[in-house]
Amino acid sequence: MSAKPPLLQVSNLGVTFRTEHGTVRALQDFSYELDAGETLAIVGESGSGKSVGALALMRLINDPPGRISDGSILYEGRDLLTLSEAQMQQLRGNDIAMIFQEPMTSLNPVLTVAEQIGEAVQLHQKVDAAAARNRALEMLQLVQLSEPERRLDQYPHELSGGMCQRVMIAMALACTPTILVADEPTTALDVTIQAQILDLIHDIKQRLGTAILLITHDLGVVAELADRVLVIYAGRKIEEAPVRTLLQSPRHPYTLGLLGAMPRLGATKDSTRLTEIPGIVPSLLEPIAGCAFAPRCSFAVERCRTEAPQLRQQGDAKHYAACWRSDDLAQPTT
Amino acid sequence: MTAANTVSNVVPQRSAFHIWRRHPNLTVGTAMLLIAIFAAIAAPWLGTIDPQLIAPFNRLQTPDSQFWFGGDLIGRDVYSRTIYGARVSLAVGLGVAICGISLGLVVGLLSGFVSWVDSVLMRVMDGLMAIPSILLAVALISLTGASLKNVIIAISIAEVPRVARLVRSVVLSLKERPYVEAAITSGTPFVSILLRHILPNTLAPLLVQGTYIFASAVLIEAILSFIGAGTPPTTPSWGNIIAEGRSVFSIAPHIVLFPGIALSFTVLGVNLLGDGLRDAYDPRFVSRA
Repeated sequence: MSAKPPLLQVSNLGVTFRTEHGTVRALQDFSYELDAGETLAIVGESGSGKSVGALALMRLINDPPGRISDGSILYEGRDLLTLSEAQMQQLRGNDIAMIFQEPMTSLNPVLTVAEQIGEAVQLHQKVDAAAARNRALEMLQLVQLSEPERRLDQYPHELSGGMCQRVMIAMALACTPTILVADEPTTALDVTIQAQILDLIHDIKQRLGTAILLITHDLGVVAELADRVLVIYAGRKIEEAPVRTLLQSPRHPYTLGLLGAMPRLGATKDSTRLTEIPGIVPSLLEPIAGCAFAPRCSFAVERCRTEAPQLRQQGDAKHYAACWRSDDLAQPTT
Repeated sequence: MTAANTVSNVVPQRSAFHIWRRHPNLTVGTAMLLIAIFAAIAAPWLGTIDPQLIAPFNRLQTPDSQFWFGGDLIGRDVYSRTIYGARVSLAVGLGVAICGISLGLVVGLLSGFVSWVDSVLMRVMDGLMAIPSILLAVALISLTGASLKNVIIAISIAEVPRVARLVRSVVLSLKERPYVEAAITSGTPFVSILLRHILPNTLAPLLVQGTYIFASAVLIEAILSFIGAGTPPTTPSWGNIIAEGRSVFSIAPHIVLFPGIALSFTVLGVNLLGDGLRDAYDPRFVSRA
């Protein structure tokens, strides 16, 4: 809304992987913006390219076989794709940090909590071990871990999954990054712990003003945390909207399908049947003619199979969708 | 001693006791090795005399109350020689375990992490592995001359490929672990990742491998001494004593018997210790037997 350029501007990003069977276009023409303090959710099913997008942002696509083939990633005016590996190391953890899906295996079993959190602090802020330890304690208090003093000298196997995830978050935030990439942060946790972790992330965002790039397939998490949502399918962005708009009036059949497949509280067996999306994500080995979703789409018409739809602005100012029939979806029949 | 320390380092304190109870191999093996180490260190105070002292009067003396293990071909005390021989065997075992593991660790870490180094180093290792370790050691010693130091170096080189392969395979699986990725995403430089995140996690299997190397080094040293390519004849080593007693085995079997028992005892102890450690740490880890 302001004239200020966004914190992060990803434009036309393309990522390819060379495999034995040919080149997979994991991400094509992928663009988004992230403002300071904002939470953007990237939603998609397994294999849709959402994690590749996050890894590309950190420049962690293994080359070979992967390659960032085109596009640019502007962070505070610098193109991350032109930085040297050493400059990138400076940035990782310090400006852009990441939390992972599997908290139990994302901590090194032979290092104590204090050592793990302190590592990045010592690395980026050039402080001594005692200061790093203090910072670790501060972070443990911030993530509301019980008995933080005792936790400092514990090893990961002495902690539960939820506690490990809190430690991961403490690690990621220890250098006060401006962007936190959260790759399915709650998938491996059970439901009550999920809620606690989501509250925690929400709370931290309010307090530290960290921008969050949330990668998930869970629309419940999205509704809870996100400001804006971006739906990705077969390596392409197909819809983007503020969270409320997207949940209330999706303009892409895929988004509609995702919403239909989500159980609702209070629904009984007779009243609503969950609808599934037939078929699977198409292979990204061959170029896809037309809309990638067309074979699975109940709205598809002849045009969808031959001509790929471009992102078009929908009714709401910040609502974009790539579907020929998005206007027909605007008057919901279901 | 060393084993007990390492156990409490790797495994948290409270479970250490359970391990000793649940793994008798570990306890028995450690005790046997400790006895051997004690004999080596305390050799001068264990009722021994100068192992080089030649007393022609005692030639081929059968074991009695004065000469517990009898006398050898030129009347030296077999008991004293066997006890002092433990020094050579254990020094070689320990020296080879340390040198072999250090070298193999460096090779393995680099091969596991840097793919172009991998193809070069592992081919060299394959080449080394193709040569039987005893032949390789004999060749290296005939190039450099027999001395304790050269024996250790020669056997170490023969053991490096095994360690390197083990470390490489562990590193290959470790570098895919999420915590290594997590370390990369927090901007940790390459060297710290290798030393702080990968290396400590290779130590448990290496400790187990170390005991097998120790045992095999003790044996190889004895074999080298037996065929006259190892420790110089002036230093008593179990291989030397057995080699010297071989010609009179039919009339004085004790000369071969006692150092043979000492050798079996030590190797068995170290192997038991290794098996115990392996079972305690990682039941899935299949060692070379």
